[in-house]
Amino acid sequence: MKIIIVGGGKIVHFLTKSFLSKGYEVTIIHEDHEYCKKLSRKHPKTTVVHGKPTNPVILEDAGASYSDAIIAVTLQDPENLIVCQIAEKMYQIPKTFALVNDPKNIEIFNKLGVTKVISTASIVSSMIEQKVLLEDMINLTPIEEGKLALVEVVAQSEHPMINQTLENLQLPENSLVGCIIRDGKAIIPRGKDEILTGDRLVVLCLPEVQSQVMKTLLGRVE
Amino acid sequence: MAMNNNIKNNNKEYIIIVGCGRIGSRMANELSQTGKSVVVIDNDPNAFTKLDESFSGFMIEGDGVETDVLEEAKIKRADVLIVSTSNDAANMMIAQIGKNVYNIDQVLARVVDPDELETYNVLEIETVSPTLLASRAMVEKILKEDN
Repeated sequence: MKIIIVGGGKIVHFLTKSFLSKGYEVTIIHEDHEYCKKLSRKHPKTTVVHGKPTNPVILEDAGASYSDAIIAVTLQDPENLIVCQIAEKMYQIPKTFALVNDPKNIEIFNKLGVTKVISTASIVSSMIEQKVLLEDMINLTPIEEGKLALVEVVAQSEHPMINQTLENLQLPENSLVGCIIRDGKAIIPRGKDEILTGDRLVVLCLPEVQSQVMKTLLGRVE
Repeated sequence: MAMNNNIKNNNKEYIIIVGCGRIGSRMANELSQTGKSVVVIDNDPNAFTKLDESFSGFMIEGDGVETDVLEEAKIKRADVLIVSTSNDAANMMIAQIGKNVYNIDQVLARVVDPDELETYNVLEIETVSPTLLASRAMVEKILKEDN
């Protein structure tokens, strides 16, 4: 797996470290020469290419024609967009990911053919909103840009779900208790399994039924 | 301002110019003088001081990359969109928004760095590169004098 990363800052260090640890080959493109030197000192196992990432020659130098994925995470949305478009149109890189700094641009990116967008602002804000609403929810991961929610809840004595079997709970359609963590062990539950105080439930559901699911399990939405 | 006599008037009436730098403002002034409706967008309000006193169009302070700003300029009605900011990636993004999202008949972008020309071409954006035009003109002059 060969991956090109375009951008700078902590996110690039993090991604690089994480990809290298998985055994991937990483090439970083950055416009600033000094920053490039710094990057190659910090990540000796990566290739660092100095130049404008929107310039096809630079992408070529970075090995775009034989790369599997490109990730554009600069702070400039236009740059992220163009990098992904060129990578796909000229070099047929199968996977292109663009960071969208301004959530308003998500729609524009999609309309211009860049569909795999990562909007940290939207992800973070939706996670915070959910956490503010529900303290009992200790973990929430949106999957596929929020098309599916993975929620972890802790069963406490005042909750209506306590000592109920999953059958009796009558969770709405498009939701599922995928796992119960009890005394440090993971149980894949069936309808006959009861929920006990202190259980951690891993729930999968579509976002539209999420509040209904929470109401059924916790007895309230807010 | 000296007008070029061979410019013929046509039915391209409503023109949006993003970027009011030296080139953008000059175009805005000339087009306004020929009687076109011109809207100029720039995120620096000081840029508008480059417009003539006789400029009769509109000025919008804002980032042309944002569709809200383009909508405020009534982009849906535009016959021509000229993109002339100092950033190539922004020019390419705005030009594509005009062409592919709002289906504007004519979209023209100014190239800042000629190394990026190929990128514009791949994205099928019609361009003018002041750097290439100037360097070609100068080389031509030099070669002519040589003969």
